[in-house]
Amino acid sequence: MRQRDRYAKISQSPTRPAAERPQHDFDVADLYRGPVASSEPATAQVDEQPLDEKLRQAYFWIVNHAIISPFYDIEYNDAPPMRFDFGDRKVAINLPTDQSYSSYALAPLLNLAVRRRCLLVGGPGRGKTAIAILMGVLAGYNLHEIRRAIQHGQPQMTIADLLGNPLPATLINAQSMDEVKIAWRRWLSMRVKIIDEYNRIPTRTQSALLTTMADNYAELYDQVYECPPAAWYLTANDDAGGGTYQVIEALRDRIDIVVKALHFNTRFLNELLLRIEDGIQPEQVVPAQIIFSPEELDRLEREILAVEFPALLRRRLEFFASHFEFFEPAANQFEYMTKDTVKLSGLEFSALNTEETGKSAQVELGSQSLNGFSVRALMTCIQFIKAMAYFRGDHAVSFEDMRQMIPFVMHDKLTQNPDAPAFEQDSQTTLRVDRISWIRGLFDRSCQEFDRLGLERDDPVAEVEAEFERGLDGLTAAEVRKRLARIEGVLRDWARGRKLYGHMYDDILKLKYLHQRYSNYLGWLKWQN
Amino acid sequence: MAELTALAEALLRRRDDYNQRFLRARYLQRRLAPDDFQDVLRRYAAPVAEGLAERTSSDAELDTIVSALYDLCLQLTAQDLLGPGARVPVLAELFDELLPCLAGLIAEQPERVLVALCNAAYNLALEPAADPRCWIARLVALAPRLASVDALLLAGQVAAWRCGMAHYRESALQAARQLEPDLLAALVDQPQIQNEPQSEAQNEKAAERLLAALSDPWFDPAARVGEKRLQRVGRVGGFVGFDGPFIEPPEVTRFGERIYALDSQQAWLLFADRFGQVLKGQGSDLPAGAPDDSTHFDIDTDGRVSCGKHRARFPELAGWRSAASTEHSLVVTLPHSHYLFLVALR
Repeated sequence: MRQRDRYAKISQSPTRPAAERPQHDFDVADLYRGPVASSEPATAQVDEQPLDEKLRQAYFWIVNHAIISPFYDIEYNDAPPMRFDFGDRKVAINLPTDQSYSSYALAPLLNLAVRRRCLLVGGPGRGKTAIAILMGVLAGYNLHEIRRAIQHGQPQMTIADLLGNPLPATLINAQSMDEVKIAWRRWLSMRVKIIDEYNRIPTRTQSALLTTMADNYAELYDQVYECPPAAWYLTANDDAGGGTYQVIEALRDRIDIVVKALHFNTRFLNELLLRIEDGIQPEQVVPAQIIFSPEELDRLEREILAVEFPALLRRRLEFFASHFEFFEPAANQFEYMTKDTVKLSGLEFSALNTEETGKSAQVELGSQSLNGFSVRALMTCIQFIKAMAYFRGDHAVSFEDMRQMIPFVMHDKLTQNPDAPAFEQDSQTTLRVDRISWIRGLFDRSCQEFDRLGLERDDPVAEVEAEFERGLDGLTAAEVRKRLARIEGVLRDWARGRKLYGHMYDDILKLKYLHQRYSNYLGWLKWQN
Repeated sequence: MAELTALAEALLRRRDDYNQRFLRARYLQRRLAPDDFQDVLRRYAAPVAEGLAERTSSDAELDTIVSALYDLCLQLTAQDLLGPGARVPVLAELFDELLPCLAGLIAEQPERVLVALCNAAYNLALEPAADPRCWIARLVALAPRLASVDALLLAGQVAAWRCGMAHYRESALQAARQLEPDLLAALVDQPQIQNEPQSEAQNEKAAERLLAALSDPWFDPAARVGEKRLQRVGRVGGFVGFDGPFIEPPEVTRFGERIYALDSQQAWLLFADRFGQVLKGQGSDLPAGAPDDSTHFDIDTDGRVSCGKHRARFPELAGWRSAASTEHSLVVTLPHSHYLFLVALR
């Protein structure tokens, strides 16, 4: 009898009552389901339970019983929240009116659902490894398996320690590399992979880890081990250059979401006292009802990807992302006016950024960063935004899902330019440190600008794009010329303005692209006739 | 030294394990007090264990039962369902009255039986229209005739419907088909099969007839056979200030074979038969599609109701606000009442 299952009971109530209520048929079999849990195998009711509800149950179990994280830094409101200002600086605290969450518990859980790579950072003893272990247990592994599978970063860690060893007998007798049998490490086959203190791994071993993380396979002696899809959890006490070894940039770049372990709230000391007295670890009492089978994890990911991302919200994300890559002083040719051009040249930004442009700091958000978003960062962002909507039981992404998740995914992807004038004001200096608030502030201002420009109602590029998406087949030369003239008209209008901002840069390039496609098609029509 | 009870002996045999279980339970439910739990074990678990000890042939067998009993009491105490300040007093009655009568079946499958009965009693206690004491009494009366755990659980389901859980009617009738005819007859108060011993084949035929008759929700097996007449068969609802569901006088409408009542706040699905009337909240939305306007009953403004050849006048329903009917029931609301009034042929 699995005794621990019955103690680790979870709530029978829906975890988010506001989420869509399924039509319920009344069945007398429900008579025997209730507050008393059975240790017998999961009932049909549990099997039929929607996975988003199971995900929420897992979240609430973690925050109520496993990880002491009494923080609600992912705030949702369905009515204006009550706000209190403290101190001379009028530091605000809001009391959210809708279900809100702790990023430290939620982000790793969403990472399990979308199977990406999560870095947990924070001082020692804040439960980084504990939450990673919990994710392993939620994925169906027993505690013993998970503990054995954790890769503990240390300065002597070799590639063989990480990936496996050739079997000595086959190594001696082999006539070719193919004949060398490799004893691959067990953790490679697991759906949850935990690398503890990854910044203590020597650089050479980091490269081997990079291949496994990035391409999902391991390679030794010309032999390849294909790993299953997995959620990765890496931990580090210090992610700002500390650790025994510098983390190679490519490895850092593969990390999709960075979650900060917040401090311990001393008002919860009693909880620690009781844990010590009782000698119980949360990972020992994870309820069976919130453990996901491999099939459920596969289905979870599919269902998350099926969440709708409305076009107007996608447009806001595009607009936000468009601010950052553009850097006018980087080149004479329009296409190369990017921060990437500067980075590849090896020159400092400050060497080029000397001219007073007269651009509004409110609009020129790009001046606050030294890079733009990578394709990988944007894809990760979309996945986590969808996961957030799914977690809340919604079929489509909402504005607030996007607003809440973007900072957590992007705060480690956007390199801040600490010398940007925007940080000079008194109230903004803390944003050099508080990256979550920095990114959220950028997103809010981007949305304000989006609204000011009226792009939701009047977006000429979107209109031209929609026209193009309908296809070129059957278009007459006269119609193509009309469309070319329209593109030229939009560019002419914009050219009358005196300032060039990041959000215009991608639009202009898109119009140039469309103009070229139409021009080529017109050329083809002429040739045909 | 006083003689140890069967429970105390069993607990001592696996003392460390039980202590660890208590600690794990307290990890999740901090207000679980050792003294309260000890009281529950002494007061409720010990008598049940004592009765079961007589039916077991080995310590190992008793240990399995005590293990299930211990876990059950631990969960119930941790959730304030048993012991000092219990939120659901009927669970104490379940331990006192029903469990001692079912020692044989509990010994057979301790965890399955104990968990199912406690959950059932809890669910009955939570349903305002249901009578959990009636349910316990019916199972106590049937206990000597229950030959297996499956029969007990089926009887419990039918008894729950019989004791007011009208929303389980359809599935309870399915369960009733699997019951022995005499058990079914006892549960629905049909005197013929119970009191007049007949051959098995005759009993089965009688049970089939009974089940067919029960398809009419207002069929009364104990009533004398005679001409049916239209009569008021129930009243359900009430003002929210007096523990009812409605914030204002409701209206009723029909979708398919189901009748919904709604006020400005939300919609409620009505389940009604001879054994009980239950309203189940459905949120603010009615089912998709148009309501069904066809009627089986007619009612005029003076409260005259007709159904086929039957006619009757109900002055209290004159000036009604809304009405909807299914094949078997007419539901009427009034402009100044928070109740639904039910009329049927019975």
